[in-house]
Amino acid sequence: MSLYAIAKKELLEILYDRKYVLGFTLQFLLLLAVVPAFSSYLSEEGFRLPAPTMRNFVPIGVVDHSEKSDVLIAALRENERLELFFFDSFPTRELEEGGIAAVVEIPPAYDERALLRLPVAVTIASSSIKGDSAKDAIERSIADASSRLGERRKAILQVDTKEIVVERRFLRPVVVEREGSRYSSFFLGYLIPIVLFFPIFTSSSLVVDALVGEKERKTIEMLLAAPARRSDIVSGKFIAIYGLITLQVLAWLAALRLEGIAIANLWAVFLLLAAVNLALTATAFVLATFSRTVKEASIALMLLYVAVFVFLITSLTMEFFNPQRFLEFSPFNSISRLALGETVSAPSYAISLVALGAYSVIAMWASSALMGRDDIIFGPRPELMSLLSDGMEDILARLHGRPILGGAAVAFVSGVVAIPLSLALEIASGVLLLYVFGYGEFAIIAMILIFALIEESLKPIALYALQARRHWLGDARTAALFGSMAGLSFFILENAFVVLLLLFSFPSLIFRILTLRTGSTLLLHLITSGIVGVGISRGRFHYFLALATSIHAAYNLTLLMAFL
Amino acid sequence: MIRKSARPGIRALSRKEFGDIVRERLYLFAFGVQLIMVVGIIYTALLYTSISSPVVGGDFIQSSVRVGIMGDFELRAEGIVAQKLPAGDPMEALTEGGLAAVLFVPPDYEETALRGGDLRFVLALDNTNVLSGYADAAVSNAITELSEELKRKRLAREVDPDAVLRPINVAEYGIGAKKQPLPMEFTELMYGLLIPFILLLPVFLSTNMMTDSIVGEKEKKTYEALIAAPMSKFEIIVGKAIPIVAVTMLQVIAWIILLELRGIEVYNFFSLLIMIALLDVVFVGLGIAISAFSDTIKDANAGVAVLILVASLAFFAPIASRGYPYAYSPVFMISKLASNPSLLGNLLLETYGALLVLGIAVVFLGARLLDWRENLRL
Repeated sequence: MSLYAIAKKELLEILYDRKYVLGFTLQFLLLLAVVPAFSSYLSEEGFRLPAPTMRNFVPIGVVDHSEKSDVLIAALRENERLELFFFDSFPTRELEEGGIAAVVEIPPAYDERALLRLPVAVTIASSSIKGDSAKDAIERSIADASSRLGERRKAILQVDTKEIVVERRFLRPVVVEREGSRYSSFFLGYLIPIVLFFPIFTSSSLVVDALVGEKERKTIEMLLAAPARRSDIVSGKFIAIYGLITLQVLAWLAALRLEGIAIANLWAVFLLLAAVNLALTATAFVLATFSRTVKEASIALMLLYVAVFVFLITSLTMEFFNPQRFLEFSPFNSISRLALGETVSAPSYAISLVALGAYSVIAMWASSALMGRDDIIFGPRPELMSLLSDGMEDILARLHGRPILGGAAVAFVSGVVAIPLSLALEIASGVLLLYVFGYGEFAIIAMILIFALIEESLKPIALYALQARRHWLGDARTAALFGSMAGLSFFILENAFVVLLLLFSFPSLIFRILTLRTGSTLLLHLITSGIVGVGISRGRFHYFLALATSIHAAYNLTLLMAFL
Repeated sequence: MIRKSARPGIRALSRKEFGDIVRERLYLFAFGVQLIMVVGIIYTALLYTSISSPVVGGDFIQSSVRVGIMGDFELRAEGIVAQKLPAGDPMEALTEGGLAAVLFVPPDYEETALRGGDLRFVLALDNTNVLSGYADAAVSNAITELSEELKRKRLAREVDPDAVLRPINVAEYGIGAKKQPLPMEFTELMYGLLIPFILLLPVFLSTNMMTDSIVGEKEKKTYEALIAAPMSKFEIIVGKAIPIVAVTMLQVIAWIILLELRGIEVYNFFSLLIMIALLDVVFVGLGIAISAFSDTIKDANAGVAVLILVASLAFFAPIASRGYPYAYSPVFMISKLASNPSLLGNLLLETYGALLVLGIAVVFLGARLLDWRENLRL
């Protein structure tokens, strides 16, 4: 059975499912309905985005002893942030209990028809969390009422004043004019990319069903019995699902076009978007292949998409409020800029495409490799470490007779696997520490210690895998050597990352920083990882890890002190 | 309806279901991720409101906002450094100088104002700089003050300027001691939007747990065995729902503790819990209804996703609508309860009542639907 046949079969299976078609149509209609509403809402230059709950946010008391206060009361009522409660006398109790955050008192002498100054007393509960908001909102309303009364009086007194007109010009166009329509650049550059990513988020159920669903329903056994290679089966499913996602994106782009929303650089946007979707679908495939049950896969994919969504929002927010050059490498930002009609440098576009493509190929290879294992399909599912060990054994077997190369390969893999894991753990622990302890000395020192522990534990990860299969780490010297190589691999990859980052933010500093790091942290990594390697071989891992962590942490602390 | 002898049945079922939920590693993992998300949200909000004002952010970030002035204009504001520039194109000066804003003021504006002529200033803003908003506000305030001064001078020749320019004379007082205040923008963002969102996350998750529970039994074929037990269908559903609502409330309490830890006070703890619990019953009921129409977990998840999407839009979308219906929105009540030490106005009891009725109705309806669909299948 050819790849083409498999892909066709998978595609038809999905399309015959009424619920999928229903879901697709529903989303499409939702898109057609919601987007224009947002577009018109945001088409003015300055907009505020109040959540509906910010309406009536600040409760205040009003004591009106005069009957002639229409303009002021009207101004207070019109202020959306205020919720007004009227009292006959000063509401001390409510103010103290916190039922209201401020009181506006209008004395009997207040008469809007007279041409005198009108007294008003405002009392703010300073201890209330809404005190500042109350002050701000009330001041605005009073200013509003003042100006209305002022206009009235100017007419009566027959005088005139002129306002200073301020013409605002923005560096980055806030309003984009294209094809005769005006859009807020926030709308085109922020909301549209988010909208374009919806198809991928909604496709997770397809992926789950295609891979894990078949496993649970046991229909996968029939599929495997067919005369097709397992890798073709995976690829066939991938082509079908990815094809549908891409069609969906095209449909949405067409719909937006029909609505008159002009996205610039349509093909460049589409290509980059397709590449991102390729990478995300491939990742989803790996996760789904590894999952045991549909429930597990659903949750794993949900978490993946949430993480992607958070990253999407964060990078787009940075793009709008504090853009840096290195953001060019985030494909989300490039899509946003292209959609607005701005240019993106050719190298960053090319790098994004190539990187995403390469990643997708690797992920799909991993997915196929997993599907090739009987224990993945029929169970029991192997542990991750066990998979790593199999991978290491495989590498060593291929490089049999060339132990140095084998060792180097193992060390290289160690670094590659360790970097994303340690990054993720460091970010998570950093966020938690900063949150609980606040930004201060304690948090920073705790972070140094924890990061050191994380890195030292993870750097020689491939070596654990090997040791579990009782391989050749018997000799302390060899173990130290391979440990150091793992440390070296980690160091090289970490610095490659740093160089790339520096290249586009502070290129002049590259040489200096690189020399500094090479001169110092290289030695550190070699030593500490070597120590851990010995520990793994000796079986007394914990003590050696503690030692390595202490050295690493001490080093970083010393640097920190010197820096300060 | 609920026979006395069958009540131990509900308790036993609830206990078993509770154990199932807590032991499910995936839920624990999802909880952990939610935790990081919540912490991240709060921290980002705090950070963002800090960095957009040099005054507030002074503890974290040493920054002052540099504003270029072309012309004869005094700008004095906290956190602002004013720089005199030679006359020219403000936009060009902006791109060259690393300034957040450049103000161009025409020469002899005072004379023009006194004559009654038109005055036009140009303010160029670097809106790629997050501090430009602060600069804009400061400059606008200064211009407003100047404008007032000029108007005053013009009017003084004929009338009392205050009568026209400042008809309302405000005397401000403060009572109570000022605690360590959170920035105003942060307070509004937090209590207005983020806290309701954070507290609703567990509620959304609970819909999923309910569908997993029912549809999971269907898939594992243990459903028929469960029906055969000496409990009515309704009792089974209640037995499943109780632990789910309990777990949801535990999560909500955890988030509230997390917020308090960061100095973000959450008021009306018990009223808030009751409100969210009642809302949760509604969502769990909707989960039952979705389960009735789902044969597989995949279908159920799709249904839950649609529900959550619609609910999010209904609760959080900035649709401009005033008045009555919004006052009953549970999200609105959650925001009010969490942010006000005491609540004036009596909508609380009405909202409780409405939610209670709605919750019971939805659960009943869901159970009926489940029955109906089963009879169809058999």
